[in-house]
Amino acid sequence: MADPLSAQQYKDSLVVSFSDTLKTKKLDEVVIIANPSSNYLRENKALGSLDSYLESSSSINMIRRGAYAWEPMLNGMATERSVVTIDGMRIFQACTDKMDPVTSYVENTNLSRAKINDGQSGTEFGGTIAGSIDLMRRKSGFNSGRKSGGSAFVGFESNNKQQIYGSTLNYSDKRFFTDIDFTHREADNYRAGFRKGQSSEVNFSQFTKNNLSAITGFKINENQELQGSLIYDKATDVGYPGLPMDASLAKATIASLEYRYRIPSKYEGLLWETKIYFNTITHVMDDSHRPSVPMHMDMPGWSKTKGFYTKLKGNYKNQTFSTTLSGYKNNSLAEMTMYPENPREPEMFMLTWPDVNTMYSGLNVADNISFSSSLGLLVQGGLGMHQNKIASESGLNSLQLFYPKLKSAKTRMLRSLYSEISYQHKKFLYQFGIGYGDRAPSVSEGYGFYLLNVNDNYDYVGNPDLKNEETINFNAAATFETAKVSVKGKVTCFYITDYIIPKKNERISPMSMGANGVKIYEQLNHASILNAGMNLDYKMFTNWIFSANASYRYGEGTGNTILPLMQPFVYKMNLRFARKSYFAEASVEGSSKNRNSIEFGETQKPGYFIANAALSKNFVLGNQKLILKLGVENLFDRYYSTFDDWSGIPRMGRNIYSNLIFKF
Amino acid sequence: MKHSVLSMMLLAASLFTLMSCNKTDYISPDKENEVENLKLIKTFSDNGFKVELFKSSGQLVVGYNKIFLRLTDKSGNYISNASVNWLPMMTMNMNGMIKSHSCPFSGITKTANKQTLFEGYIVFVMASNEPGDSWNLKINFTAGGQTIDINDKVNVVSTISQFQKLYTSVTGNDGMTYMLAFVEPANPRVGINDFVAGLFYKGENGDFPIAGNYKIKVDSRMPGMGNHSAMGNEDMIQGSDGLYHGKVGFSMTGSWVINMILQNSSGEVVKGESITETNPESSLNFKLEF
Repeated sequence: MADPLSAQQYKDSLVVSFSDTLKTKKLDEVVIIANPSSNYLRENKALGSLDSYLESSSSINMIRRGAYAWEPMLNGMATERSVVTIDGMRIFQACTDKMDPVTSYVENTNLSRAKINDGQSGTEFGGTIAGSIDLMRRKSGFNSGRKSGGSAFVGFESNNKQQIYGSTLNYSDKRFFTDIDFTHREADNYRAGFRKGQSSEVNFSQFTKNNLSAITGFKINENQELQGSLIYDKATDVGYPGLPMDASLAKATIASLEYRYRIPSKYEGLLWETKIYFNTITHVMDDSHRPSVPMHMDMPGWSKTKGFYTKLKGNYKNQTFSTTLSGYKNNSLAEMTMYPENPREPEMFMLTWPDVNTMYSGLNVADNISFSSSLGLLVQGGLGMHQNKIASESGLNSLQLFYPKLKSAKTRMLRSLYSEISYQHKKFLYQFGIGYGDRAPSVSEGYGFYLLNVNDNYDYVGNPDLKNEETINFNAAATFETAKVSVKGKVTCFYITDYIIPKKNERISPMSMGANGVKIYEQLNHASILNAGMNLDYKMFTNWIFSANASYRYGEGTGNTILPLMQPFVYKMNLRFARKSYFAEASVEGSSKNRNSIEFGETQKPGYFIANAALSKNFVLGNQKLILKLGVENLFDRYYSTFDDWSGIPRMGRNIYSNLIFKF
Repeated sequence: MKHSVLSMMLLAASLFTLMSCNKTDYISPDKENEVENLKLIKTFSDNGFKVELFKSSGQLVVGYNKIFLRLTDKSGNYISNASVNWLPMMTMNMNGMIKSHSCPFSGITKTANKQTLFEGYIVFVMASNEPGDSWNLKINFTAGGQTIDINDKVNVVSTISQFQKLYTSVTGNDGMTYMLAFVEPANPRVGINDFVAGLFYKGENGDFPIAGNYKIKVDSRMPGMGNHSAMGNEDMIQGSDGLYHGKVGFSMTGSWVINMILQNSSGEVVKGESITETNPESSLNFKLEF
C-alpha cells in the first residue's frame, strides 16, 4: 500500500507534531490522488479521472452509467449507505437517477487524497452504514520561505478523443498561501472492445467538464489561521449510455470558510477547527438527443446544502482525542415535465423529489489510546438528530397518494459506536474493529416519486415510514511488512437489520412508459454483506516492484434475496520498474463471473481479463520539469461488460493515452 | 329508494314558506357585498324586482352548475328571507317540431352564513343552440307576502373537448337513462382529491330524480402515459346531500380520464367496465386536464 505521507505536501503549520504522536496505526485507508502539482507522480495516467483513483481502493468499486461520473460503491454499498464529504463538507447529489455522485463535482487537481473509513469508523460527519470517503483538498500550506510555482498540462486519450487541459498555480509564504487550478476535459463517444461485425461505438457517452478551484489561507497570528476554499464545476453535454437520458448540465459551487486556532495549553497540539460551508448543485437531465423516446421530458434537480462543523482535537499523555459537532441543512428538489406528442394535450408535471429539507446535527467523539508502542485502542461514538421535512404542499399531496396519513416532517435519532484495537507483533500488525450504528433513509428511499431504475425497469417509489437501517459491523485486518514485502488482508462484514431495499408492489401501476411495474422501498429483516481484500507489494529486485491486489464481496438478505451490484472476485497485478527518470509498468486485471441478482434485473457477466502497459519519463530543465507519460489500457481491445456497468453497457476498448505535464 | 327532487323541493319550500312567511328582512346594498368571489351570469328583472344569478366562473355549462341567487326588492334592498323555486326548461326546435324538457336540478336554499345569497344547482344536459334550442329559467319567489315570477333565457355552453368531459349521459344495462355530473374537485390538484358527482335518472314524468343507493367505482388513468393509474382512488357512495362522494387521485398534472363503474344496490354493474390491456377506457368516464 502506498505510504500516505509521500503525497502529503501540506504539513499542518499549527500542529506540527500532531501526526507524530500517533504511535499506533488506524484501520482507515488513504488513496493518494496524483495531480500535476504533487510530487507524487509515480502513478501512471496522472491526468486520469478521480474515479479511477478511488477504484484503486479494495473497499471501492465504481458503478458506471457511462464514461463520466461513476458512482463509488463503498464496501459493496451504494451512496445512500455511505457519507461522501469534501474536507468534511456534506454534499448531496441533485440527480434522482444518480448521474451526479458527489465525486463527479471535483477534479484531481482539487484534491490530494481520499480518506476511506469502513463502517462505523466513518461517522464523524453523519450516520452511515458502509463508511465514509472524505476527499481532502490539495493545498500548499504555509511555508517558511516564499515559494511559488505551478504546472500546465495536456492529455489526450485515443479511445474517446478525450482532451485534457489545465493548469495549477501555487504561492505560499509564512503568512499566506493560495492554490488555484483549472481543468478542462472534453470527450467524444468511447469505443468498446472489438466484436466481429459489430460497431464498437458506444453512443451517448460523450462529456465536457470544466473545473475551477481556489483555496487560500491566511495566518492571523502564530496560533490562528483562516482558510477559504471554492470549487466551481460545470459539466455539459454528458451522455449516459446506461440510462435513457443524458445531462445537459451538471453544475456545482462548493464554498467554505475555515478558522483554525491552536489553543495554548499544556495539552500538546490542542486545535480548534471550525468550518462553515455552502454548496449548490443544479442538474438538468435531457433526452432531446435520444432518437426514440416515447415522450420527451425535462427532469431538472437541485440540491443545496449549508452546514458547519467545529472540531476540537488534541493529545493528552498517550491519548489523541477529537470531538466534532457538525450540522447541515440540505434541500433536495427534483421535478419532471413531460411533453406529449399531441401539442393540444397539456404538459404533465410532477415532483420527483418533493422539496425535501433534511436537517442534521450530531456530535461525534473519538479517543485513540496508545497503551504501548504496539497496542492501541480507538473508541468512537456519536449521536445525531436527523429530520426530513417536505416543504412543498404539492409534494406532500403527491406522496399522500401512497401514504394518506403522511405528515410533512419526520425526526429520527442516529447513533453510532465504534471501537478498534490494533496490535503490532514483530512484523505483523493485527487490527480489529467492531461497530454499531444506524442511518436514515435517503431522499429517494424516503420520498422518491416514480423514479425509473432502468436496470430492472421498475419505477421506484419512496417510503417515508421506513425505520432506521441498523448495522453491526466487524473489520479485521492483518498486515505483514518487511523492507521487501508487504502483505495485507482485510475483511469487513456487515450484519444489517431493517435493510432498505425496493420490493415489487403489484397493486400499483407504473408511471414510466414501458416500465415493468412499481417497486416500493421496504425493509428486509436482515442482510449480510461481506468484503474481503488483499494487497501485496514485493520489491523483487532493486528498481522492480510487483504488486497484486484482489477483492471480493458477497451480499444476501432475508428470503434468499441476492443483493444487487455485488462485486465478484476482482484482481489486479502489476509489475513496475523505476530507474532514475524512467518509470514503466505492466499490469493485468480481471474478474470472475458475478453472482447476479435476477430480482434487480442483473444478468450474469462472464469473467474478463485485460492487460495494460505504461511508460513515463521525467525531463529536468533547470528548475523546471517536464513529465511525459504514455500508456495503453485494454491492450488487446477486449470486449467486456461487468456487474457494475449499468444496463450492461460495455467497457472501453483499447485506449492509448498521453499526459504531458510541465512543472514550474 | 329514489327521491324526486321536485317533491323534495316542494316540501322544503312549503316548510320554509310556513316558517318565514311573516318575516322578511331587507338589507341595504351598500352594507353588504357577498359576491366578491363570484361572477354575475345574468340579471332577471320584473316589475322592479331583480334576481341576479352568480357562479364562480360566471358561465353556465353543460353539466353541474352551482348557482347563487341574490334577490332585490322594488326599493333596491336585498331580500334575505324568501322562498325561492326554479325550473329550467329546454325548448328544442327539431325541424319545426317543438319539444321541451327539463334537466336535473336541486331546490334553492339560503346560503349558510350569508345574508343575501341563496343557492342551488342545475345540471344542464345540453348546450343552448340559439335560435333553435334555448334554455329558459323560471324563477319564482315569495317574500313579504308577495309572489314574484320571473322567466328568462339563459345561455349554456358546452365545455366538452378531447380532454374535458365533466358530464355524461348513459343508458344502463337496466334500460334506464342516467346522468352523471362532475361536481368536485373544481380545482383538481396532484394528490388525493375529494371526488363528488351527481347521479340522476330520467323519470317517467319528465323529471330527473337523484338516483339513490348506487355505488360508483373509480379508476383514474392517464392515457398519455400508457394508461398509468394513480393511487388514492376510493369508490363513491351517496352522501346526505344526495350527491356521491369518494376520492380520486392524480399523480401529476396533465390529462386524466376518470373511469367509473356504476353498480346498483345489489352490486350489479349498471354501466362501465374494468380497465384492462384491451379495454383502455370505461364507457362511463369523465375527462379533465389541469
